[in-house]
Amino acid sequence: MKLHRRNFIISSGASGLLLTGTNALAAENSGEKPAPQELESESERLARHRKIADGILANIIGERPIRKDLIEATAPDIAEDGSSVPVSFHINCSMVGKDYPSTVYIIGMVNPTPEIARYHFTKECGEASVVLRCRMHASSDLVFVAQMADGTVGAVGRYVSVTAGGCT
Amino acid sequence: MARSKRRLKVPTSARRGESFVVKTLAEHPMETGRRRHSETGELVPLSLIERLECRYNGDLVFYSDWFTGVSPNPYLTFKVKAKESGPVEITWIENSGLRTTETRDIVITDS
Repeated sequence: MKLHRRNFIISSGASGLLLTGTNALAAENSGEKPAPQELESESERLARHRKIADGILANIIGERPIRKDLIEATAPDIAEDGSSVPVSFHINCSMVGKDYPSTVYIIGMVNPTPEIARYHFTKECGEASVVLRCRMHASSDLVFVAQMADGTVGAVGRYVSVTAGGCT
Repeated sequence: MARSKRRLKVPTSARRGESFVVKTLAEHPMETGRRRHSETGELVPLSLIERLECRYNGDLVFYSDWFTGVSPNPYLTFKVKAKESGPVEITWIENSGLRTTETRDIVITDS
């Protein structure tokens, strides 16, 4: 009895292996390779976007120290519609001499294209204040970076919870 | 292609030395190139306003580069310092090369 059952199990197991083996071979021969995007989970995708965003931030800021209270930014805590998130920022500077922002970057940390917009100011603006609406793919930080004309840099982040992503 | 609407609001007058608010709104779908058509399932090609420029009395005082993260029907307000009476001209430039311009005149007062 015992011997018989063991034989049965061994033989069925072996045939099972054989079957899966042939299946794998067949898939390989037909050249059907699953597209990498379809295998990517949402968290993996977000991590990939975040890596790009980190690279952009590193490129802009470099080794410079970050001025923390340079930028006053407002963004909603919760955004119900990710395709239109109202945002505003104001740069605390005199707009005299070299004390004005040459460029302000807005970066969505998990957006497929993390860089949302750049704003270029001159002294003729009188005040660096902007109101805009942006798209956000998922709940994440919205980072504002101000590149000042004197070479210093300021940055601030605002976390926004996004109910429905708007990056399609 | 039907010309989509562009809206521009500039105050009619401002005091010299003060900053006035310029409000802009463009009617534009801002297609990211990632959206699929709801019926055919085909990707809708990228169509963006890539740049907004503001000229005050002919000088470029402010400009902005936009990517796919800007919302559809992009709204933007910013400030300009009042110097001399003259035109405030906004130009929207699309990735297709299409340029649309709106102009408003502002009167600068001393009192």
